[in-house]
Amino acid sequence: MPTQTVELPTFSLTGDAVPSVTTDAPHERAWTPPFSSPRAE
Amino acid sequence: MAPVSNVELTSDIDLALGSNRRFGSAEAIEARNLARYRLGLQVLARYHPHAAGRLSRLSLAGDAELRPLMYDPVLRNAFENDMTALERQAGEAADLVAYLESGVADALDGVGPCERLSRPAVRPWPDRAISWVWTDLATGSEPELALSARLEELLAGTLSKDGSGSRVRPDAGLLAGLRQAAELLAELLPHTGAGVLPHVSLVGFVRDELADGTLNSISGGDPLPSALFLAPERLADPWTAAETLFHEGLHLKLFDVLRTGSMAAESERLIPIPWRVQPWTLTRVLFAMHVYAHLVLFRAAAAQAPPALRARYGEPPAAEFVDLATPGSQAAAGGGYTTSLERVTYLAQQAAQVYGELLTPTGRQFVDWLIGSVAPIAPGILPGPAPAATRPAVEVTLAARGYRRAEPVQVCPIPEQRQLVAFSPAPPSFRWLNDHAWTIYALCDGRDLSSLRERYSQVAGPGAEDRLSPGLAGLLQAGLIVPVGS
Repeated sequence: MPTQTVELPTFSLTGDAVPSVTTDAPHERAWTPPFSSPRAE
Repeated sequence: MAPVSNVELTSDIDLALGSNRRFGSAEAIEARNLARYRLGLQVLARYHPHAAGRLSRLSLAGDAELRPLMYDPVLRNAFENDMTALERQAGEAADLVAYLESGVADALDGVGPCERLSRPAVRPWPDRAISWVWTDLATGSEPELALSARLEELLAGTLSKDGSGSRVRPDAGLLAGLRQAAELLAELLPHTGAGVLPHVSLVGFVRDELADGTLNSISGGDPLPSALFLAPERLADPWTAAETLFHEGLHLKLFDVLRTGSMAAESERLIPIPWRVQPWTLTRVLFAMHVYAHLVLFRAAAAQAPPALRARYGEPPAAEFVDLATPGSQAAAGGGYTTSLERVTYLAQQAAQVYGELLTPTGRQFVDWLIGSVAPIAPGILPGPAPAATRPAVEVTLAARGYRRAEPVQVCPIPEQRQLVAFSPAPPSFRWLNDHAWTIYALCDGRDLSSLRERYSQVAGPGAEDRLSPGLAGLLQAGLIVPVGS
């Protein structure tokens, strides 16, 4: 659930992982891909 | 050791593609999206204090109540519009708040607002996922009319601009065909096939003529989220129907994945596609690659379908039919690219090698996972070594006085996935932190740098000190922390 406090993780950290901060981008969300059957020549 | 049979091989690939927690598991992907919604609703509550009660109530609802509301096409579209306006700092949009204040989402009973209007109410695969069919919408009150009109508007915005497209009211035959398609898909591919259904909220039927041909099917990103539409003709044959449902369900799945981590670092560069005239963005390449890779699996599983499945659904098509190359394209003139395997091999090469530097680290993981998973049944798909990442590491001079979290702090932990989703106040955006970034963020409580180093080394173990600097740089760049004293 959402909170306004940040606690340390209660699990062991991954040994070989590097810190990663990612986001999501509007340009990847703002379209719809139609699947059509192109007309033959 | 006994050789692995083809059936075992496709079964293993089905499991690999359908269960990966980052990119394949519907359950894990939904858990991340629900965390994002809960956090986003709390963020909106901060901007709209008059609606804070409704937003908080929704944020704290259980998964079974929250999911149908936030996967409702109209509400989800409104939420994404509001969050995008915040991200772009384009004012405080209140689309979602307006719907909530109209009362259409007051009932937390596991039925979404648009679904509640459907007559007759049809859930095509109730044992597998909460999806519903757009039959007719019964509206009585003004809020219901507004909701229905908005859904129609979203569909109209997705179909041809010349108005040639129209929705088809499904009859009993179409509904039976839809159920049959899902049953076949789930029996053929228990993990990847059944696994697309939870990403589908709304199923509708349309006919439309697009600029480049007849519409077979379409699925929504933010403009019409969690929704897919099929041309009725696609349901004439169970195998074609199952494949089309799979195709569009995979798109909806990848949209859900992308909301919890970007894959393409830029949106401008266009990539030539031999079977199309218009080049595609990297994002579109990833979407197409995702589908074609799974269709290679679908074809392999169909070819090995047991007699019982053939008796129930008929013989699968003997040959694969992918849509024709667009007239005027390289493939239309010179041939080739007529199978999913040929197309995914080309797309994988583009994504992994030619344009690999445009991928985010998550995008790189996705491409490697997808290609690696289907490689045993996709000869030639494995590209050579990827180009080295060209993005320079962010250099940062660390502040001796240490760091504190930027206010206000709003987060939602997902410990079972070792992730924390946070909302950065400036610039406003969702941020996904892995376990190490989460730990560093938690330790940025105003302590000085030497204390931060010492504590991080204690928590992360020997050899981790080299990770502190890039971790702090990432958090600074995301606007999640600020130097003490600033």
